[in-house]
Amino acid sequence: MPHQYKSIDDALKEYGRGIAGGLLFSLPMLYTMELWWAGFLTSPLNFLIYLATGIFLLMVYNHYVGLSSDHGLFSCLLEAVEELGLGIVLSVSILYIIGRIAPEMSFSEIMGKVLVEAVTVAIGISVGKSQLGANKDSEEDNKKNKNTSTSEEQKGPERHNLIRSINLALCGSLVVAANIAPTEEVVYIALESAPFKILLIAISSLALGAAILYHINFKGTNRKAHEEYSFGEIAAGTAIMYALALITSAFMLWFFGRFEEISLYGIIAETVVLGFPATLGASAGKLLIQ
Amino acid sequence: MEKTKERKNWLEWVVTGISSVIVAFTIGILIYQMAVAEETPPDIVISLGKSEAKNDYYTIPVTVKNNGATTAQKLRIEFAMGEGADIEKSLLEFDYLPGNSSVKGWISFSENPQGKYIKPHILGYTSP
Repeated sequence: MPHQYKSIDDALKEYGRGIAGGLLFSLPMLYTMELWWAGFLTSPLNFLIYLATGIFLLMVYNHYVGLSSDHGLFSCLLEAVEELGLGIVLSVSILYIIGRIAPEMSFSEIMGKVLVEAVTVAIGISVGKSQLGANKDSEEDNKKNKNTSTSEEQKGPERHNLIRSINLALCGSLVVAANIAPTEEVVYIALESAPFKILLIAISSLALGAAILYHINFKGTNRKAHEEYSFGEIAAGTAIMYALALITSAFMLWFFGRFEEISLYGIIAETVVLGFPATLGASAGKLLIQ
Repeated sequence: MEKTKERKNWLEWVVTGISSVIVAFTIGILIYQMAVAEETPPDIVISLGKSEAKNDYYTIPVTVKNNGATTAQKLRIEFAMGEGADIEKSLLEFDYLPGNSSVKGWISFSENPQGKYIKPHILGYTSP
């Protein structure tokens, strides 16, 4: 199989899937007013951190899940950069079509609006490229994955699986949380709900996450179908997943300036409120984005 | 890595190349902004255009520019035409006026503004 070129047709189809995936996850964001504002309210340092996080997540995703799963670090980086570049171009196009960027705006305003959207678009592109693929491709992928996973399983499947799951959970929750974090509603829910309701949200998140991770897993996926989980395993898996969802929530809320001049309780309440949809993203992401 | 290089076709290389340039450019601009740009407060400059007669009122285009680096939020500007007891007022409101950007609006008066003095008054704005 070495040294064969991918055909132009296949490459175009792959980009098409990527663009479809990118739009699927990010059109809600592109149509949200708070995100246009966030574009010019966010500082360059925050953008740099956000971009770096995005590129890192894309790299890990490409390495463990994407089509280039057998490739080296550098080609993962190239792939991540390519997806981010496509994300930027796609964001510019959509924002221009819906009239949110115009020539009389300052360069930094336009760039801000585009960057706020571009990371989610890029993750969508990456997911679309590798997940929305045709059957033929995925069968080949499965074969390839089986081959690699058997060889890798001897090395250390535990670590491999853990990093992969963590990254999937992070990507899934980031895509969902990024859509919701900039809206005012998170702040309203967090600050107007009684503390016990915030606690209820946290408990619901945990229950929902555990159900999705361990109940649907029984039916949906192949590998662990026969395995029985002990209570300890379920508790640990759910806790890790919820922690990741909370981390993503906190990161996105911080990025959109929702933590400025607010009490510690407010910060935690906002994180828990956003943690609910993020949990859905984290746990469902693991199942959908395999 | 050799293997992957040969597997990419020219189209993918073009896309990767363009993407790399865009991403590098973006990161470069962000670092430049961080290093150079200072957080100057909003600095609002108002310029009026030529009045235009409509059915039973007159409009004047207004360009409001923010020369500062910071965004002005909930910006309200009042325009007073005429002097003494014969004053007619108009008001403009902008949700956001980002730094180094301008917005356009129109004020309208029932009297003909031709030859009359129009005084803009920035009522205030908040920081986001």
